[in-house]
Amino acid sequence: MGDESWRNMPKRMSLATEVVVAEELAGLQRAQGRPFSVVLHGGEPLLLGAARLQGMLQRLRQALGPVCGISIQTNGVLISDAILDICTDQNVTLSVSLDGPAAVHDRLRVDLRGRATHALVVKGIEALKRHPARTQLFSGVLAVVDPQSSPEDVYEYFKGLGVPSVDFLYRDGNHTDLPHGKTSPSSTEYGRWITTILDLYIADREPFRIRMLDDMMKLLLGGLGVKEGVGLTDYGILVIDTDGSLKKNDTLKSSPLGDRFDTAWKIGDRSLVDIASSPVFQNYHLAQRPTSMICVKCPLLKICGGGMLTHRFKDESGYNNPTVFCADQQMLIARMREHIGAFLHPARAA
Amino acid sequence: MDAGQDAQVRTEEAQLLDAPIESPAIRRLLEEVRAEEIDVSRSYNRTFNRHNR
Repeated sequence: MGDESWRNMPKRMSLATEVVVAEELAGLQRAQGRPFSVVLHGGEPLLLGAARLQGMLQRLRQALGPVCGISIQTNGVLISDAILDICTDQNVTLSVSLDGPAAVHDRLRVDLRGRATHALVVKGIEALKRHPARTQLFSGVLAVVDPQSSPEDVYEYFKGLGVPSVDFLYRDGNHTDLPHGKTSPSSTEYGRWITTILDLYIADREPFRIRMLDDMMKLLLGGLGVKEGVGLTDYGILVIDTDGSLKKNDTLKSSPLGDRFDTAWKIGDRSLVDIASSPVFQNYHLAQRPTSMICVKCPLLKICGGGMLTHRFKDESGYNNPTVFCADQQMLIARMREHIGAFLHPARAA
Repeated sequence: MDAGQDAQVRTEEAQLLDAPIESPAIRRLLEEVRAEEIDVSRSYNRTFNRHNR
C-alpha cells in the first residue's frame, strides 16, 4: 500500500513558499498561545541539501522561537556532518526510518532504482552516533512492522545498533484493503509480533525506549499518552506539501477517501489561523474520535483510542468501524495487563 | 471513588512503587507517571494550557 502522490510533487519547497510557511506558522502559534511541533517529513527532507536546509531551519526557528519542537524524519541516506551541525545549531532532532536488519529493511525500502538502502541508512546512523551533540540530535528510529519477520531478530538488531528509541508503526491498511501480512480483520499477526517485542522489552535489563508500548502502558498506569493513534488525546495534524498545498494527516492517503480537504487550500491563500478554526478543519479534527459503537462501548478505548483514522476504513461504512488492528491491540493490552497488573490505575484495571 | 478510597489506593500505589521492580522498562514508566502527576498541578497556569482553562 505505497503512496505514489509524491511523484507529482516538487522535490523541494520553493523559497517563496518556505517564507510564507514560516510566517503563517508564527501567526498560528501567536493565535493559539501554545507551541506545536513541526516535522519535516518524507519524501525525503534532506534532498534540500545543506544550504537550503540551513536557511529553512533558521527561518522556522526564528519564526517559532525555542519552545516549538522542530524535527526531521529522514531515510538517513543523506545524513552528513554538515547537516548534523546545522541541526545542532537550530536545536532540531532527527528520527531515522529503519525497519530492522537488512533482510527486513531492504524488502520494501529500496531507492528509485530498486537498490537496497540498509547499508547507507546505517552509515547515516553511525554518523549521528559519532556526532558530539548526538544525545540532543538523535531521537531514535521509526520502524514499520513486518509481521512476517522475527520480532526477536528485530529487537536484538536495534539493541545492538544502540538506538535511543524505536517507534514501531503498524503497516497502513484497512478493513477493505488489509495491511500486509494480516489475513483477516480478526487475525492477530501484528498482535503476536508486537506482544513478543513487549515481552523482550519488559525482560531487558537496559531497554531502549519503545514509544508505542510506553504510551499504552502509561495510559494503563493512569498517565498521559503523547502518540497519535493511542489514547484519547486529540491531535491537530496539518500537512503542508512541497507545492504549498494543505492536506489532512498523510496517513489518510492509504484510505480511498484520501487526505484532501473539500476545499483545495494553499498556504498563503488564507491564514492558517482561519483554516484551523474553520468548520471544515474542525470536522476533520473531530473525525479522529472513534464513532463505532463497538469502540464507544469498549472498556479499552481509553488505551487504544480506536487506532488511527485511516485504519478504520471499510468500503460500506467509511471510518465508522474499529481499527483493523482491533484484535491485535486487544491481544497486546491483555499482555500488558499481565506485565503491569499490580500497578494498574484503578479506573483502568477493569 | 470517595476520598477515603482514593487515599487508600494512593497508599497502596506508594507501597508498590517502593517495592523492588525487576523490569527497568516498567520502573521507568512508573517513575514518569508519578512525575506527571506532580507536573500537572504545577503546570496548571502555564501559558501552554491557558486556552483550555
